[in-house]
Amino acid sequence: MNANFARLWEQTMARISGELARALPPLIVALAILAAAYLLARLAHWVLLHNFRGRSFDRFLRQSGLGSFLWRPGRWRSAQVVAKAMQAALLVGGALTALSVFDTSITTRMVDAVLLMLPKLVIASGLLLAGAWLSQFLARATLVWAVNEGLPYPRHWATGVRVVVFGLAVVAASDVLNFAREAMLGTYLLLLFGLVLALSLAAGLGARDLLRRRLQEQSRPGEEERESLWNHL
Amino acid sequence: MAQAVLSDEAVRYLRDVGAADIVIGIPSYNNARTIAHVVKAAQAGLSQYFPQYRSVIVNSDGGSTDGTREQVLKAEIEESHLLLLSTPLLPVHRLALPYHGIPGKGSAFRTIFTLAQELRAQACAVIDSDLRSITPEWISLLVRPLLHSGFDFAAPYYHRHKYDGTITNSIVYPLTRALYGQQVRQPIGGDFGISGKLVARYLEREDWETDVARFGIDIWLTTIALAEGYRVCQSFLGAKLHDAKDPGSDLSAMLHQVTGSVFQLMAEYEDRWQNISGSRKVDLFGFRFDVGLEPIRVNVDRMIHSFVEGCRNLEEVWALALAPERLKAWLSAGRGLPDQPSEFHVPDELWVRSIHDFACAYRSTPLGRGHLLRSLTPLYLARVASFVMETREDGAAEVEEKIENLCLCFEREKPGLIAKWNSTQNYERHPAAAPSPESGNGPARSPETEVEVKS
Repeated sequence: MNANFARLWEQTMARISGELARALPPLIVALAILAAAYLLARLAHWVLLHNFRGRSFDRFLRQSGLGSFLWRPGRWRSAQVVAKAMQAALLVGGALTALSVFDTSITTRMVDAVLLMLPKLVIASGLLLAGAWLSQFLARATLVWAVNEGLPYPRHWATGVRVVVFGLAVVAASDVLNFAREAMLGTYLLLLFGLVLALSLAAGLGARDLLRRRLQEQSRPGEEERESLWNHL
Repeated sequence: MAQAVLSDEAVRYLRDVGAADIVIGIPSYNNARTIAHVVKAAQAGLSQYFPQYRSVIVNSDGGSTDGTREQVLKAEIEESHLLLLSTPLLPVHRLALPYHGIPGKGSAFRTIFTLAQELRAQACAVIDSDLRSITPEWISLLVRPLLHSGFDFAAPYYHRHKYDGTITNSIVYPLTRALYGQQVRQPIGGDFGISGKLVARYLEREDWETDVARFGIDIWLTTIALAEGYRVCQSFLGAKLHDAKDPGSDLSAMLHQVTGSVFQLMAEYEDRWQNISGSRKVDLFGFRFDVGLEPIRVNVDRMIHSFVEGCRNLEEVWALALAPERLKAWLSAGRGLPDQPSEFHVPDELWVRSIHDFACAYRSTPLGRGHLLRSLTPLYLARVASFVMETREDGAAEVEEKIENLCLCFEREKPGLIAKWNSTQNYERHPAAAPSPESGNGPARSPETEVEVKS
């Protein structure tokens, strides 16, 4: 009994030590690569943050409102954008290199998949960013217009515009990534249809009220004409 | 250049007339009801005060469909022997033609100025086509300073009801005065006299196709004259009575266009206005007299309601322009406001600094300009409501004194505007020095910048 146990123990330990002996060098190398990539990324971030001068890009970020859109509490500068992008690229590159050190079928497939998906991910992210920015821009325009026109629920109008525009960006991004593209498109069309229906009902009911008010006004010809908000201009 | 701006009809006419000393321009769009009176007044003014000058009246029309041009051509002074003591030596030519280009008053002016230049006119006056209070003396008052006193630009000076021209009184006049240092009381009056030299300068510019010249043409004319050092005077024209505004027109857009033009020109002439402090009076031609004015009714409750709605919904847009303490002051006023407050006071300092904030934000965020300027409307209405409530019992003199105080406040606060304006510019050069949205860029909150409300 004891002899069997000792044999099993020895076999297990031998297997573990064998596995460790086989995996340890690549693991150490991978960790070293990760650490180096991290240090390099931090260094690149620091150097770019303090030395990069992209005035045109700064101007673009500021004038387009993209700087404040990316990070609400403050404004992003080109140095921050470039430094963070470089940092992220170095970290991702380090992680992929570290994975490829193991040279197993799983890690190879993972690295291949990421490399294959990377351009699509970049495009999809760009689409989502542009969609988010555009939806914010148009929602603001709608909000200001609705307030100045005295429309009820201005925020709802703005939210509707935001959802429609950003939804379109999500559908486009899912199409690029080939991720549930039909489900996304179907959901978007349903949403759009619902919004149009709600809008039509609101317009119809509003027109009915407007017509009623007009008829009431016509039936009281002696009533003083309503003052314009702007007649003092 | 003239060929590109003028129609074939106008070019033929130019060949026939050859030259003129005075050109009176009347831009129009569906003004058949009033334009005949304006043309008659202009014709009488030219015949009465400038009989020895070759004169032309030009109607530059934006495609009216109500017979405006026909009214111009058939307008005649009835019983002219009763009006004119002497027979004019030279006839007054009349021309009504459509203008080319983008629709707008700016395009109409461009046609008038091009004709004036081609006719080698010494003086050109432009007058609105919906005026009901114009008299022949207006022509003399707008043209004489140019012909006989060496001025280049004669701005109008009217008596107006205390609630008339509130964009002028609350933004355009005080801001223009503080920026360019000259007290031109009606910078967007609409009726101006312009020398041949200044007409040539206007035509040289390349921004005729932009919104500034198209919609903000009045402030564009005045600002260029002031900023480029032309000799500017004012002419007292009495009361300005004009056709009621089209109730369907979007007058919120007018605020947007005028303020947009002022801010745009601020960016162009920043080197000029930053070196000016204080302001000086501008020569005023004409005999000043008191006139009866048509009362103007204003609906304060609706203005307040619009402001409250703005406070409920526009915080995120206002935050793009207003410094945090200003934003807080406006929001706390709007959110605690009863439906019909008995007192509502927007301090001059708060208003002035808010306008400065919008001017700087307009400059630094080209893509968001439309939102910013349109979002100014509820704040502007709050300021007007405050003004109306404060001046309900006041006469013209007291109201003018309040406007003068606002102007002085704009002048006092100008160093703050310059600092903020330049810090926006420095942001491009030294991003680390930029004012952060949290810190704002204005002075600490004080009683002068808090809105007072009593229910």
